[in-house]
Amino acid sequence: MAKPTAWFPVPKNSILPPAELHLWRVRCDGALETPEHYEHLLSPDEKERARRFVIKEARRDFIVSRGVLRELLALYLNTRPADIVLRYGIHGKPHVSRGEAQSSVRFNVSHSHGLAVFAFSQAEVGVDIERVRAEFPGREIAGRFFSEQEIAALGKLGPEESSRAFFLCWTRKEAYVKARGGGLQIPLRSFSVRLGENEEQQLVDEGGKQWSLYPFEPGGGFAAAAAVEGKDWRLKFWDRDGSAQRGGKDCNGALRSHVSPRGTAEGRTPQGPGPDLRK
Amino acid sequence: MHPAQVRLLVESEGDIDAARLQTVWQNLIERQEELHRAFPRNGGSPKYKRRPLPWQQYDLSGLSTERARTWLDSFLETDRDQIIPTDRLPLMRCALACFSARACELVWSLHPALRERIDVQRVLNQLASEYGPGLRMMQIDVEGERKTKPSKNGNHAAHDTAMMAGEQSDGASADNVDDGVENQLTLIWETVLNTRVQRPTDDFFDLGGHSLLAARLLTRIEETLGIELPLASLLEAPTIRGQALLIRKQSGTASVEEPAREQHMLRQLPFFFLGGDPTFRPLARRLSELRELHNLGLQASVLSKLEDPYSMECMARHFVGAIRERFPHGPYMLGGWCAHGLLAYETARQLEEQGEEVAQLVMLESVHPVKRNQYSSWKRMIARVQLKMHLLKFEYAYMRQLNGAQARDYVSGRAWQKLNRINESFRQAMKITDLNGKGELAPRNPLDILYTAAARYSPKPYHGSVVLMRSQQRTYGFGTVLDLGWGELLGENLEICETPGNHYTIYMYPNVDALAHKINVSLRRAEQRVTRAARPA
Repeated sequence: MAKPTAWFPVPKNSILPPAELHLWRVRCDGALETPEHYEHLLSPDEKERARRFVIKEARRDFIVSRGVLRELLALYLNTRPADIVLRYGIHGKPHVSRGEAQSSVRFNVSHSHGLAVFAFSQAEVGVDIERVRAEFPGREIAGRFFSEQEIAALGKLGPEESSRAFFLCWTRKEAYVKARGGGLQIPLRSFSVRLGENEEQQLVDEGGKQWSLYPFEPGGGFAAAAAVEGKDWRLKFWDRDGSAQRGGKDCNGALRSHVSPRGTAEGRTPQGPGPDLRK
Repeated sequence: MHPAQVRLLVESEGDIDAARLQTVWQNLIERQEELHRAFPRNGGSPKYKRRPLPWQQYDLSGLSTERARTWLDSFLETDRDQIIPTDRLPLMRCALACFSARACELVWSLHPALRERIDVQRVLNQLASEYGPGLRMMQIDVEGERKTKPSKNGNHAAHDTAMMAGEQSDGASADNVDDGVENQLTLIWETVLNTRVQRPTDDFFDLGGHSLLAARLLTRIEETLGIELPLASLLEAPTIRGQALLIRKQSGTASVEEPAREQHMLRQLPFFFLGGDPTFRPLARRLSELRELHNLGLQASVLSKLEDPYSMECMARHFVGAIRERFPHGPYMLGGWCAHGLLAYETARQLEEQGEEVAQLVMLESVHPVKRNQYSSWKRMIARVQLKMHLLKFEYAYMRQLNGAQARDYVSGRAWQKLNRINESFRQAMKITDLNGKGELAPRNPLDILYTAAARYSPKPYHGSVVLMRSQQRTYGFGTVLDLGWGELLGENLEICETPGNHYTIYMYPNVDALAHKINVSLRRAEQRVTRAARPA
């Protein structure tokens, strides 16, 4: 079993050095702060968007993740959360408006079943989290959307392993697609990711740009990955909820040292056991 | 006669009293004159055996919405396969599936002749009034899976009315003529999003949708409607209405005047899959979740009765009989793997010869036997050894997928027999290579008989549409030939579709899901062709 990702309590001041990728983990199921706490931070269009959600949980997750995003951005940009202006790319990827002082900060957000992850770096970044559900019909989706290599790798696994592997695969693909800002436009079948637990990977897109893919452990029962342009990133993991850890054994907030050398976070093995997709 | 299903959604403000519902329903049926009068064949004669209305009850309250729906779908499918015996009254049966204390679905399966003469709405109104206040009943349209309003059919938009005027010939409720795509989509959306979709203009992402659910939604749509939409289409059209438009556009059949009536009325054809080996079970299970499936096996008892059990034509004649016994007339759809595929081919050919339509033939990894025999014999030998290795590996992997009890079961019930058979057929297969089908072998096992017959078989021309499923991992030698020798004989009617796995592992999880999905899509297309052709211009 690969060592779990180590998450650390919130730092006093947040700066974002050029070679670092910051990953934040935040609960948004309302256990710590109510959605109302965040609602006033949202912009009018975000409030309107929140109002449109039909499902209560979806609305809550949206409000909390947007609220927290603004708080975190405010931390990096040294401004007030409500003052941040977000703009959207043609495929809907949000970014900080150019008017901001340090708009070189790039970010991406993903949430699933009450847990949100945020990625910040100075290069294009994407992140995705999914709760692993055994009953999810991943195999059908894999059959239609995954590449041949990925389907073959999933095929080598037993039912239980493969349901987790599906989510590992999906989050990696999704993180990459989100990082590139192409949203659903990039065919998921057009590239392949590896399935090993915590197995990092480099991808090169059609334009020759290099991307790094870093899977990580957001907590028990979830799968997640981040993708960022370039290579040799140092990863830092922050747990916004600090000592109020989620119940999973994977959450380990007590460690002190938290910066890892070149591309691997301490406490993680770069290549865990698991199926190897390389042929 | 296979039943007509009437699906009724029952909701109540308080808890539903199922026993009361049953009594009221039974009394009500008892009193419906039109259900007992003048039945076509027996003329309402008093010779009918009378029995209480068959009533089954299922508690689904422990299942998630989605599981309950899946359960119900497979129940409906099974129920459709069960005939309504015409020698006793009443010519119907009921099943009550309870989703919760306050919501259930009543599946009322009745003889089609009765269905035509009954006014469901009137029965519902009577039931609701007799049961007492607080009970609401809605009819769910079976073909369109659409909930009709409990009231009447005066709610169509103006542009639909023109279309209805020409189409309203079948005497069915005019509600049927409404656009089926949106309603089918609503059902799929609700299942995937696990919520009610109130309006067809609701945005997928506002309903809690995200990209993983989008992938799931599109997979479902493809399975149900046979239309493949890219993920990006959901950004372009994030509503049910928009998506229905895209689907109509893509299916290319529905014009502005006719909103995709085809999907709504898509004719379901029976699919006969030849091959009763346990190896097929995962595929059969997956396929039967998707459609009506008839699995026909080769039995030693049948083979022994055949004139010449080593002739594919003779075997096929038996299957033609078995198929026409169940469905006297086509269109049919047939499929089979390897030598069973050849058997399906010959069966389809004979059906065609008899003037019956075979809408689709699906051959899985079936080799044109004559073309293969023209291939060098040592290459064939190597291929055979390779296949046997694959088979052993497959057996091993198959075992590993089972849980403890299943594995024990498998071992005790099958492994010995299987090993013996592998051993036996291996030795015989080596000999067949040098034979020209002179019957020098005396295989004991039906499968061995089939393989011998396959080696001698020379396929005659066939004019129907054929899909050849190829495993992506090819077998050595002739297995590397993409069309497995069929191209010349079948010409444009041949379509080749690749599926993950090797000759055997295409049946293994999760490859089998891709395989079932691909087969289902090709069958859907055939059904669309048939439906389209049947519709008057």
